[in-house]
Amino acid sequence: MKRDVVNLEPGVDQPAPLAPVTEDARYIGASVPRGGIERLTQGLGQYVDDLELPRMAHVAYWRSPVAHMRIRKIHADAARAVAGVLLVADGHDLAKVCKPWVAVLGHLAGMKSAPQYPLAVERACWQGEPVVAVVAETRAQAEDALQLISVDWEALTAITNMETALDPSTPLIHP
Amino acid sequence: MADLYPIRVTVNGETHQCSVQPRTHLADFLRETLGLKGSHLGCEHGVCGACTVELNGHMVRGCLTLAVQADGGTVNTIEGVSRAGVIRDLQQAFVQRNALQCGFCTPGMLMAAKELIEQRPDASRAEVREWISGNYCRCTGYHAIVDAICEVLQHRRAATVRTEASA
Repeated sequence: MKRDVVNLEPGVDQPAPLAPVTEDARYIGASVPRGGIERLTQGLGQYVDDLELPRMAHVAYWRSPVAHMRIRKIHADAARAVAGVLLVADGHDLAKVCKPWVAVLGHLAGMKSAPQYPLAVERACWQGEPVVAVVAETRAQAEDALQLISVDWEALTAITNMETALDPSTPLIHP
Repeated sequence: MADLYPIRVTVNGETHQCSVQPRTHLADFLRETLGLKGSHLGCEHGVCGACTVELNGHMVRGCLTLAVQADGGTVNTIEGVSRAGVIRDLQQAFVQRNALQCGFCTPGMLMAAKELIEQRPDASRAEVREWISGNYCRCTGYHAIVDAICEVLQHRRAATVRTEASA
């Protein structure tokens, strides 16, 4: 259903609000035709994976194998030398061009997440957190080069219990 | 990088001569080399069924079949069978029963159902459920899909009976 944009400028007349959808007899007990469904049954839908753009590149990630670790050194020279590889980036590289994202809740003032960087900086704080990004002309090249990435890392204490996470003796994951 | 391997494959009635890496799987070949994006890749390890296509008359997992295995063969995809109109009733039944939401699994689901309908026209509801158990749908909960396939089986059986009666 089309949702009209409401003009909130002072002095602009507001149109009468539409009846809530539950009072609208059109949908109750009626079979509502669904637009655009036929193409999905003919393989003619378009999903993100179907998009091909000019100069499009593909990325594959080296991810943290453990829930908490310190990143010591990233060995990426061999990956950089692979044909088709355009960029190998780590957390420090991306932190220079991308500010960390902090999630907040509009209806819960003061509630906010720890700063989240696109790639882990210094430490990874969950298993699977992206640590190194390998960008290449094709997905296969990116994944090939990924095999040549090695990371020296040191396991840190994993915090796996919400109750003990509140204990002062438990290390803080996001100080 | 391995050498390229020449293949000749007929896809949806058109013959293509291409060079592929031996490791390229059939679904990537169809999607990336031929631009046929209707076959989808959900898991890429043979579990979800979204890449189901027909190779030499039998359904296969596009992600577990190498493109070189299709050399000299015939492939039909959702694009081809749609154009040929051979599963028009099945597609209509899916639409009428809203047997899809996002539609990502639908091409694979239809290709699997196509083989069932052609090979086992007397399939029971339990057999339909068993047959499509290799195709994952994370939206619908399967009931509408099973309903649609059962309806097509029933209609085609009725049509066969009518044809035989008038012959």
